[in-house]
Amino acid sequence: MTTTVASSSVASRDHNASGQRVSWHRLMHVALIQNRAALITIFGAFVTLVIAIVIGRDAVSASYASYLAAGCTFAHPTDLQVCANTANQFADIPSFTPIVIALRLFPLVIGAFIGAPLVAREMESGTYRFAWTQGVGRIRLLLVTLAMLALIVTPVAVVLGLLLGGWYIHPYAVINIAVGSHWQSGLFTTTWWMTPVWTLFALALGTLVGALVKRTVAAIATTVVIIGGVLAAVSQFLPRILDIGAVASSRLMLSYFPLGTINTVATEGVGPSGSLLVRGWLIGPRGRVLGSHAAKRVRVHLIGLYQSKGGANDPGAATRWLTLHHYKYWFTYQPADHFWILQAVVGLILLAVAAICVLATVRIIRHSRS
Amino acid sequence: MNVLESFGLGVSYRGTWALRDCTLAVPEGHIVALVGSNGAGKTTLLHCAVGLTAPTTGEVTVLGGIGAGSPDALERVAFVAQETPLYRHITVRAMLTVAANMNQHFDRNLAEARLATLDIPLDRRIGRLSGGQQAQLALALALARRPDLLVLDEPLARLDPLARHEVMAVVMSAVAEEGLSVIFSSHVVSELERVADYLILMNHGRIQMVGVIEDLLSKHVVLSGPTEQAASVAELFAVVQSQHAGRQTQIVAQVDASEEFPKDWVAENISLDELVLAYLREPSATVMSGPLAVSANHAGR
Repeated sequence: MTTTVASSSVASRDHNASGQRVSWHRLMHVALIQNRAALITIFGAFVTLVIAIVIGRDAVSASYASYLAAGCTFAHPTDLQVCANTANQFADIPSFTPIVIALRLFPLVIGAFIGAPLVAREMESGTYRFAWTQGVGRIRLLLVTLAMLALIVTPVAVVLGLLLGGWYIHPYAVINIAVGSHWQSGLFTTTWWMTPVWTLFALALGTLVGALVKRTVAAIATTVVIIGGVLAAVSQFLPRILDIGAVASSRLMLSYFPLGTINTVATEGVGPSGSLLVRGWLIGPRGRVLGSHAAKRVRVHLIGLYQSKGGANDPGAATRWLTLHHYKYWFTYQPADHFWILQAVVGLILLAVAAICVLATVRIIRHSRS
Repeated sequence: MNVLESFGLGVSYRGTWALRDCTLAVPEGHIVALVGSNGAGKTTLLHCAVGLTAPTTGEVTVLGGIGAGSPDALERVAFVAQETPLYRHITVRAMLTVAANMNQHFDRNLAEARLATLDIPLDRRIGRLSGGQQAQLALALALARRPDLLVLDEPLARLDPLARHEVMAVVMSAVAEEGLSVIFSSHVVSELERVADYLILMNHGRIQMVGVIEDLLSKHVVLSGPTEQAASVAELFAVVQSQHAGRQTQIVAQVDASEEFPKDWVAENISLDELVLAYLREPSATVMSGPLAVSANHAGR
C-alpha cells in the first residue's frame, strides 16, 4: 500500500476560532422550538390544575370556616357532633380527590409525554441524523434540552404543590383525623417539594426509556407503566418507608391498640400531637413479639377492658392487665418535626435516581449507533 | 490533506459486519461519488465519517486527522442524511433558526438567499414542502454552515430528474464558489459522471475500487474478440469480468497505456457505468489505484 504524507493546503473556512462553542442560551432557543408542543401541553395542564385548585379551595375554605365557627379544635375534633358533621362535609368536597390524583399524576404525564418522546421521537423520525451532526454535539444538545425542560417544569410543579398545600394544610392540621394527613401517600408526594422532585424524576426516567426503546408510542407506554408502577409501589410501601427512623414508644396512649401498619396521624391524648403513628406490636411474657393471631386475641381482650361496662373508657384497666400479665404494647411514630426531614430524604433519593437516569441516557446517546 | 481517512475500519451490528477492513484516503478538493449496491455499506461508511456510528474496529478521521464526530469535526463537516430528515412540524424559518443556533458558524443570509432563489417560502411548514424542496432545504442548511467537507447520503434518491439536476447544480456551484470537498453516495451512476471526479466503489461491506475517475477509466478497457481466444487473452491482462455470447466474448480488463491488444480483439474505452457494473458483478476484483495517502501515523502499523 502506498503511503504518502499529504500537507494541508486548504484553510478551514472561518472555523479558526477552535474551542468556541455554541452558547447555552442559543441552545435553549433550539430546545424551545423543538419542544414547543410539549411546552404548550405543560402550560395547558398547569392552567387547568390551577383553575381546579383555586375553585376547590373556596369550597374547602368555607368548610374550614364553618368548622372553626362551631368551636371545634384539634384536641377534640370529633367530640362534638357538629365537628364530626363539618369534618365529614369537608371530606366530601368532590374536587379534592380528583385534584390530588391529578397532581399526583402530573409527574407521570411529564415523564410520559415530554421525557419519553424527547430522544425516541428523534430516533424514530430519523431527525437525530440532523441534530446529532450539527456543531453543537449530541450530548450538549441533550443536556441543554433537559435542563431547559427541568427549568420550566420545576417552578410549575412547585407552584402546583404550593397551591394544593396552601389549600389543604391548615384545614388538615385541624381535622386530619376525618380526612387524612400530609403523611399519607397522596399528600406526601404532592407537597411543594415532592411534586417537582417527582416531576424531575419522571422526566429523567422517561428520557432514559425513550433512549432505550427508540419508538415514541412504545416509550410513552413503557414510561407510563414504569412510573405508574413506582408511584403505586411508593403508595403501597410508604408506611413501611416512613418506619425508617421512626421513634419507638411503649407509653400506652392508644385506645384501640392497633397492630401492624397504623398509618394514622395522632391527635392529642392518643399519641404525640401531629405525629404519624406508623406501626404497632405486642411483646409477650417471654420478651418476643407476638404472632398475628395471638396479638389479635390480646388486642380484643384489651379493647374489652378499655371499654368498661358502664360505657366510660378506662385506659388504666388495659394497662394494668398488660403489666399483670407481662405484656407490653409498643408502637412507632414519626414526630411532626420529622416530616420535612423525611420529605428531604425521599426527595434526594429520587433526585439521585434521576441523575443516574440522565447519566445512563448520556451514555446511551454517546454510544448510540445509527 | 485528506478529507477522509479510514484505517482497518469495521462496523458490526449484532455480529453482522456492515463494513469490514476499510482502509482508504480521499484527498481534498474532489467531488467523491460513493457507489455500491444496496447493503454495500455506503451509509455506514458515511455515518462513521460524520460521527453518527462508532467503528467496531479501526478508526476514521476527517479533514487531516480530526476524529470523526469530535467537536472540531462537527463544526467543519456538514451532513445531509438519506431522506433528508428535518423537523416536519416547524416552518422553514424556524428550521433556519434551529440550524443557526446549533452551529457556531452559520451563514443565515446565505441560506435565505439560496431558498429565495429556489422559491421556497420561509413561512411554510417543512412537512408541506415537496421532496425536492426538502432536499434543497437540507442542502441549503448544510451549505450555510460553510463546511470544509460536505457529506451527502443518497441526496438524489427520492427526486425526479429535474430536482436531481437542480440539487446537483447547487452542489456544483457551492464547490466552485467555496472550494469545499464533497462526498456523496448514490445509485444513479449515470448522473455521477457529470459531477464526480473521484470514485469509491463498495461491495458487501468492503471497498472495491478507489480512485480518480479519469484514471480509473483510462486503466480499464472493454475487449471484444473470439471466445476461443478468451482464455489466452485472460492470461495477458488483469481481467475484471468476462461475458460470453456465442462466439464473441467481452472482457473488462485492467490495462496499462503502453500495452498492445491481441490481434482479432477490439479494445474500446469503458464508460463509468460499465466499469461500476463490472466490478459489482465481480466482488473479488479490486482496484486501489487512487492516491492512498494514508497519514504517517498509520504507516508503521
